[in-house]
Amino acid sequence: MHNHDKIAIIDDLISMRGKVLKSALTLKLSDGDSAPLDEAEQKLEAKVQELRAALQRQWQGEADEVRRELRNAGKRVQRRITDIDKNIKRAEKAVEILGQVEGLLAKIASLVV
Amino acid sequence: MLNRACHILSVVLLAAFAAGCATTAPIKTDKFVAYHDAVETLSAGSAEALAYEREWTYRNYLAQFTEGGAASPADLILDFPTGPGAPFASALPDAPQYMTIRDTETRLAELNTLFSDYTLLLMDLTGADAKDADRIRSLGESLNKNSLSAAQALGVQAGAKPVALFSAAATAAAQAYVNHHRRESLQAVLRDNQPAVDAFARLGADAASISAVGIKTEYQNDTKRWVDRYAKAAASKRPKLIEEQLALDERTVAQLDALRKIHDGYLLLARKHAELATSVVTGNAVDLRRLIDNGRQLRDLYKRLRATGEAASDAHKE
Repeated sequence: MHNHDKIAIIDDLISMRGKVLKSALTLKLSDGDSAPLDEAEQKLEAKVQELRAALQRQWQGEADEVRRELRNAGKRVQRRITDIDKNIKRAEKAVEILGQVEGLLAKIASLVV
Repeated sequence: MLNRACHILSVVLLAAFAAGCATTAPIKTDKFVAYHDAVETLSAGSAEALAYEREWTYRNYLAQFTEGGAASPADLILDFPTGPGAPFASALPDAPQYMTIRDTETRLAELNTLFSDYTLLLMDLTGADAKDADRIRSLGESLNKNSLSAAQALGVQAGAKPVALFSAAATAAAQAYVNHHRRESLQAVLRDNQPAVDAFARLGADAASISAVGIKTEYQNDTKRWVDRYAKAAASKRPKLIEEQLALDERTVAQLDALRKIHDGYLLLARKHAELATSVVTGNAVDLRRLIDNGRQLRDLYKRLRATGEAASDAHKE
């Protein structure tokens, strides 16, 4: 079952609890016996808390897995950055060589002129 | 003659250098910077949201000891298990809910930091710091300078510009070569990392949904106590209690609104990551306005929530 399906089930319980709380208040204000509603509300709360904790624990397990995936994602970018640095060094070397060729051409030109 | 030789050679070398480079224009880095900023905003917002839920859960946990509830003080006594991890292991098998939220907070913060670091690396890969451009440009400039002074010293009257053209062309070609590799690398990592980004985004969105469950539960815990107080209160005290509940309603609605924005923000992060990958290929700009607006609204909401929280706390003190 996906997380959002579980969340939908807890939401149903929360919605029911809200209705029970409203009815309990109405009964209390009219001096009615709200004990059965209070009991139902407590049971609903206990179930919501239990499912909420289970959901948190499941999320934490998934987070450990995703943390590994994100670390690998970062490593993949890091490797590419290292490659780019190598490419920059190659480019610098090429520019340097071309500069030397340029100097040489200037020298040759002076001999020819 | 010198001019002509230099010109021809520079053109030939430029073409050779950039050969195979389909796209040699620099990558637009501003979107990657904006994307990183959006990640930081969302990260701060999600940290604030979970802290809010944890603090509220903790307050209600403590309230159970004074007002009655299912919490047992025995749950706080540590177990010291034998076996793996002993003699240093400890456990709280029935840890209170707020401790579980704290563990989620820690893990979400770690994930957010990892993702933020990842987006910084992406910025680095785009060349946002322009260090390589500066390095190559300054090398080209120094070569130009040397060549010009050498030519002048040797009495070459070819003029400064044509001689410099050669180094300038080499510099441009080198930069094009680096740009091409950056674009290719960026495209590959954005594509390869999309599944990890999707998983991260789904988890971030789920954390917001789970926190919404927590907020609604704590709201109902507060409301349950309010129902008892209201039913027992004298009529003259009831308007004050109504105000109290209205303020609680307002804070809860604002918190749920913030969590919705966090939820949507994470899902947008994944979508925009995919769009950044496409933009590197097509050169089209990515529209990050929704992501940025979402972050701005989140910041505003928390500013308001902090202000109402402080006001509520002051009211309690009175």
